[in-house]
Amino acid sequence: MANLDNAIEPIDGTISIVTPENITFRYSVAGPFQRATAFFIDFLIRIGIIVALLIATAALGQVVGEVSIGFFLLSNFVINWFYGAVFETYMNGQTPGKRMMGIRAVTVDGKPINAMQAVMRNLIRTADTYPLVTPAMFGIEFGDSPVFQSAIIPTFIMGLIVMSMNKRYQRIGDLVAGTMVIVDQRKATYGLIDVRSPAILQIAALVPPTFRADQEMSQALAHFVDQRPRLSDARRREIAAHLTEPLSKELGLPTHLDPDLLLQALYYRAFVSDAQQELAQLTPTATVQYHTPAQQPLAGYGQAPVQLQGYRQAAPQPLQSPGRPPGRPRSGGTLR
Amino acid sequence: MQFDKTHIQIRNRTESEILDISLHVFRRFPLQIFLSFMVVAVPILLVNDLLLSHVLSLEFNLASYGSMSIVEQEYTTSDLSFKTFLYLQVLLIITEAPLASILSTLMLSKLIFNEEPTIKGLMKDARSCLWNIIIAFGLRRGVLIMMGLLILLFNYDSGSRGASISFFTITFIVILFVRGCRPYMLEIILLERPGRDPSKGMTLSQRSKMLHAATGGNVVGRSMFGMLVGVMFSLSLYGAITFFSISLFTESGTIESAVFTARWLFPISCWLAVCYTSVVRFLNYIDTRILLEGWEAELKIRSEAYKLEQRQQLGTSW
Repeated sequence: MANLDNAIEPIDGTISIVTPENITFRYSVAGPFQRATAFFIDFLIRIGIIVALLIATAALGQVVGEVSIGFFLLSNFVINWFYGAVFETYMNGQTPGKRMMGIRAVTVDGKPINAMQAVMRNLIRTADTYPLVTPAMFGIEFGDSPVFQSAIIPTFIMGLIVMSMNKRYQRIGDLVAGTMVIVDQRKATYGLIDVRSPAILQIAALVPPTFRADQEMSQALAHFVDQRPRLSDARRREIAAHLTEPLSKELGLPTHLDPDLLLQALYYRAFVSDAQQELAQLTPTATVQYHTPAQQPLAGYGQAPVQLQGYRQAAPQPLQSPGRPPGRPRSGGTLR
Repeated sequence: MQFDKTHIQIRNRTESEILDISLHVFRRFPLQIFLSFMVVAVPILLVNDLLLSHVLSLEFNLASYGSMSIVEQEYTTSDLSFKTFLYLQVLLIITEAPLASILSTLMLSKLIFNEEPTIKGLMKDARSCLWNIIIAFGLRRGVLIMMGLLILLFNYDSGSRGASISFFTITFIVILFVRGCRPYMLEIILLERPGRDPSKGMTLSQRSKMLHAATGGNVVGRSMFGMLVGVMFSLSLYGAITFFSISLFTESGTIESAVFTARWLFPISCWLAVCYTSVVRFLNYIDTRILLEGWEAELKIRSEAYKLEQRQQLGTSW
């Protein structure tokens, strides 16, 4: 079996680009299945335009005769071959489908693509659809209609193989044009969660004012508080205990505090009370606002927003840990 | 199990991300996944052929079929038997798909968590779960039932073919429904090793209920979507393999043996797609556990704890 390298970078569908200034940007690369939906949307739009053209051609045919057929064929050619190129040039690497799916074509350096790259990557798209097959190969028959009998179906296997072979998920057109498709935006998934309960506020008061959560600590706390409703009590404590042990020592807190409550108290300090104080110093009249879900402003994950989204009210909780040993995880086991 | 020493970044993903990441996993461990899958899939492929080839031979002689002209073959491929053969093959492969991915699932579980498995070791692991596998997949998920039905319904009776196919299809739909509701049964059996005695820990059904009930419709949706992708992928592969086999091995540029294509190229394409979907299913299972057991949160918390301990050792603080 393969000799596994422990230092190997974990698979995550992301790539890092280091600028000449030694600044690293991390991009989430869109793979074939994320791009397929955008492709399908664009395909439907193209079909819609062609159908509209067909109707226009029929109407035009009444006036100008057979010239309208030439007009249709020319328009059909332009739409099929330059739809993607035109949109990607003028919409900064996006087609309507890509925009809807929140993905964007950029150069391999992470810069916006130019017109030549947009044209190149779209002209070579056909190569990714190979090999092409006919329904007859599958034993499918559509009666005597010559249109269906001669229908050509793309398998996309060539594109899929090429995309699988490189970590940027580049198809042949991307490789030729030096481009890739990245996820343009990630939806914010975390809002502030209301953790206020007497026990938590009591513990939060014990935390010394010197405590300041940096960005990574804030992210870890936010993530824990966001995930904890899905976890069993024992599992919450098990996870929280990893951090609360060194943290209690650092902050001089009593060691008997419930780890789950302590992390919630730190979350409260990091995201609510400290943020409120900072805001109050900046604008004395400002206060922390609690909003109903309908009024939700988006709070960035890991930031310290001053407004709280629709919240879940925590039930009153005992201050001390019930002392139960960390038990079995919720789904009942671990991988061996 | 160390979440910070995995070959896949531990975080929650969307279904399309998982489908993409599966390609990456394949790229990193192509031989290991492929070989461990084929060790089980090839014998199943041969058994299927043994069970189904007679469906073709009921209507016409297979030996003479190969020597027919392409016009005659095209005429014959429209025959009911030929379509029945392909149809039954598809139903059988879908039913057997999880069973065929026993070793590849075990292989993935070890590769992802940085172990160095061997096929022999994996077979030993699989043997220890054999009873649960037979009960869950042979009977409840109907692999043995479907095989038995094929022998009973199609071996001796060609007169009431329509009724036999209908009965077989209904059985398949029931099995598919059972599987669709609890898609991660194989992973639970192989990776969580539940016991049979409730007094000694959680049983298979308890673990399964706990995992699947907690995620509800999401699991069923993902399972169905994965199956749809698998079907489309197998059709694409079938088209591509047929295309290349025609281009490389025939002079006429057309299919020279429709029987060979149907009996071997078609099931091979399907099994290759199943191999890919087994990786997708495994990653979906991991994703579900990441969500339910808070692996991602644990990783971040442990990372912060590690940094704090390092800082304490260096004597620096807030």
